[in-house]
Amino acid sequence: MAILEMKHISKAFSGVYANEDVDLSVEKGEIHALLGENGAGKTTLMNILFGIYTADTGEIYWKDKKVVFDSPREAINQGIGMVHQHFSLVQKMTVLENIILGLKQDGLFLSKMDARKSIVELAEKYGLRVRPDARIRDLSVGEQQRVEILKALYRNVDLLILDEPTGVLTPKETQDFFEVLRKLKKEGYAVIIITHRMSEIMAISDRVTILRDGKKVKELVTSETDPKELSMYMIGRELHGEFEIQEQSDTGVALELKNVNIMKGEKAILDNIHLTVNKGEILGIAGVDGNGQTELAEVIAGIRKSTSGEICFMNESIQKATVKQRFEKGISYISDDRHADGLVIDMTLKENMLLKDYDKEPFSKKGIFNKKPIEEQAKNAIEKFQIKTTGTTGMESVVKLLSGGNQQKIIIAREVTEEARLVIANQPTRGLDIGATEFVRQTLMDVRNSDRSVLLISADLEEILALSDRIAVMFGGKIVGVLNRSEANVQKIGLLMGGMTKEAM
Amino acid sequence: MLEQILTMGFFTAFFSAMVRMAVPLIYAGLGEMFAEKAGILNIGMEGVMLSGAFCSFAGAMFSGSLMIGLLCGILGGIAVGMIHAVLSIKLAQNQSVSGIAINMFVLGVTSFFSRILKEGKSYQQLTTFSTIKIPGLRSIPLIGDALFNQDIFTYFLYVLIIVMTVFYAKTAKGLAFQAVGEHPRAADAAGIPVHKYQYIAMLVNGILGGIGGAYLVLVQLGVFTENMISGRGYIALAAVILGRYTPVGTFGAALIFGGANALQIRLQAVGVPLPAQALAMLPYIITLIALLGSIGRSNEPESLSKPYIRGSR
Repeated sequence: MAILEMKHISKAFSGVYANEDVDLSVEKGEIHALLGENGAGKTTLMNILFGIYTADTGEIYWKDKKVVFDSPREAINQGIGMVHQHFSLVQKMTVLENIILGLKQDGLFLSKMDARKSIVELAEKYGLRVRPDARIRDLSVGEQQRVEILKALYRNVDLLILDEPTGVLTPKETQDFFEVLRKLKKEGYAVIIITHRMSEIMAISDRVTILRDGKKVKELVTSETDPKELSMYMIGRELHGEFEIQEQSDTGVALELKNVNIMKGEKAILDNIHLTVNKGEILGIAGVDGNGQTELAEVIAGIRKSTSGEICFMNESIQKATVKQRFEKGISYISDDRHADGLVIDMTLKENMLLKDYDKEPFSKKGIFNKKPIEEQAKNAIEKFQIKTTGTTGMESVVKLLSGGNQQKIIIAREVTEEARLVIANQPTRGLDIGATEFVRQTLMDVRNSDRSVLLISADLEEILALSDRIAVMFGGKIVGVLNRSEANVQKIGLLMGGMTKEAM
Repeated sequence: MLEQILTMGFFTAFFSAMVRMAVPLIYAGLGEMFAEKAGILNIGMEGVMLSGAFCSFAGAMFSGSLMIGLLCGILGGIAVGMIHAVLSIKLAQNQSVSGIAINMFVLGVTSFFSRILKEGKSYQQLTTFSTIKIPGLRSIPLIGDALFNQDIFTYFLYVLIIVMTVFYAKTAKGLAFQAVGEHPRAADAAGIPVHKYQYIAMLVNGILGGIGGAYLVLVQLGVFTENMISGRGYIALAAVILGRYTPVGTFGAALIFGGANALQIRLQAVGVPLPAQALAMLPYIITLIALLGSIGRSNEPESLSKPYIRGSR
């Protein structure tokens, strides 16, 4: 018997359907996966269920009663909890305070002792290890996630919605997390897990509902399907298989870092980094977010200054070169934060394409823009990279109105040029759907196959393993190990990512 | 000169003046802190105080009662606070712009009405709230007079600071008010009505700011003059930052600013050979130095002055 039935749910934002006639049914003691590309409407559907949005049409039946939730509070009171992709935790408060926040109290004063006891009991029952008095800002992402789950359980929910829960976890943490989910399932909780990772769906879910372009395309029983079928329903076509790896020609070193350090007070953000990237090579940098990867990328691109050490590009020190000089030498940077460093989102596609070459011929002469080559460049980018612009505006589309995948394509069109001899790609496929991801990966592969270099930073191990010739793993600002393609696998990298050294393995 | 300054009498008088100068800043500072901890930055505190001062004067003059004057002052503060509340909560406008606009608006309005009020009348001076001596405690040397030979507003502050400290440290509601300013989405998901709490915070902001303004009229001067707050609202904002968003800290910071003001008056009184204008800069210089000293140690609420709209990305 289904505990939750969503029927014919539709929701439009300014005339565009985010959900159109979607059905979803979840049973008690079931882990139900919600699969779809970015923008397929998964999160919108869950936000409707959780009372953040109201559906335009359609009905929700919760425990056989028709319900309409006007706010998250009502949803929680009725027994539905949600863990968002970006956690809803107050950083300055303790774990305990976050969990009891907003709950009805007997009397005026906080009774932390009682709360602590039941939280510790709950945590032990489901293997959710937390320290009740630690402040959230001092916790790892995995710990924060456990707090979020505890927060929901403490409110006696029957259904738990998890939005992309594993994106930020190490492989080991993911395993622990799945163990928790299995225990919850055993206790009769219903769980909805939003994801686009096939392997996880196969590992943990009982049933899958697949959304595409806001519509439900299929509901499948996990044990009766396979990743190939799932991805076919998800993107509406078959994926290419593995990448074709061409033989690597030995053409020498492109980039070399010698003893590079960045200190922040007493703490080393980059700790004695030695690294070489060869021509015709993709060097993958694996690691959990925040272990120095972004700093490494920025120090090479010249955005960040190193405290000590030397960086050589094409056998020439670039230690003193500015960002612009490095770019002119052929170092391109695809930032992990499109909106912060990659694009000016209130400007148009055409203008964003021009950000690095605005002062060069033929785009401008003596400070005056030359319209024709600028438009030519934008037009070529749209065609070559198949950028989907909004409506009829074409190259005049304001970037913030484009989808994440198309925004990323603009950056790639700008950065991955003929002149780029080293492409630093920091999380280049984060938040992109499968189609766009495949495109970006192929583009990077093409760079490698034309004897140029790629430094690929990614938290996605499958991506690192699929593309890299060599893989360096970062932990705590150090490079803890470098593996060749032939010796690398998920287990080995996972251990290094968790701080084990190569010798200890 | 130095012998004149280093006397018991000088310090006793100085501490008394320090507390008196600080009281309106403490009221305004606590009101501002309450709003900021709930995520609303009210740069319009100057306007709130000015409105409180004007309304208390008008109310007391027409009714002949100081209590009615106080009530009018509080209502005047609330009125201005609510303008800011609607603009920044309901309409999600830029809180800095709204606050500055309010300050200029209130300055114009109060100056205009005070001229109408005084038209054709001789100079009016209210009898002010009298001091209440607390026997025993007031005989403590140096600080006895400063702390325990004051008016009812000062004594109420002692209670208010304790209540607010306990409120934030020990009560569920206090935790909820802080969550609203730190992470409104988390608060919303935890079932806390974010906007309602922000309105309540602005109500408290208006009440305390109104009292701060009324204090100047009903206790200190007995008269309303144009632009009489003269920057105290801004100094209260600085006191909140320097006080690291705690009631006791705000109290302490306001005392420093009050002390700076008292010092320059005392120094003028003993005839330090510096121009009066140079000495009058002292409180503001100390404000700047204090803010420089608190760089990097901010305890600012994460979502301060960011409007919360449910479901926006």
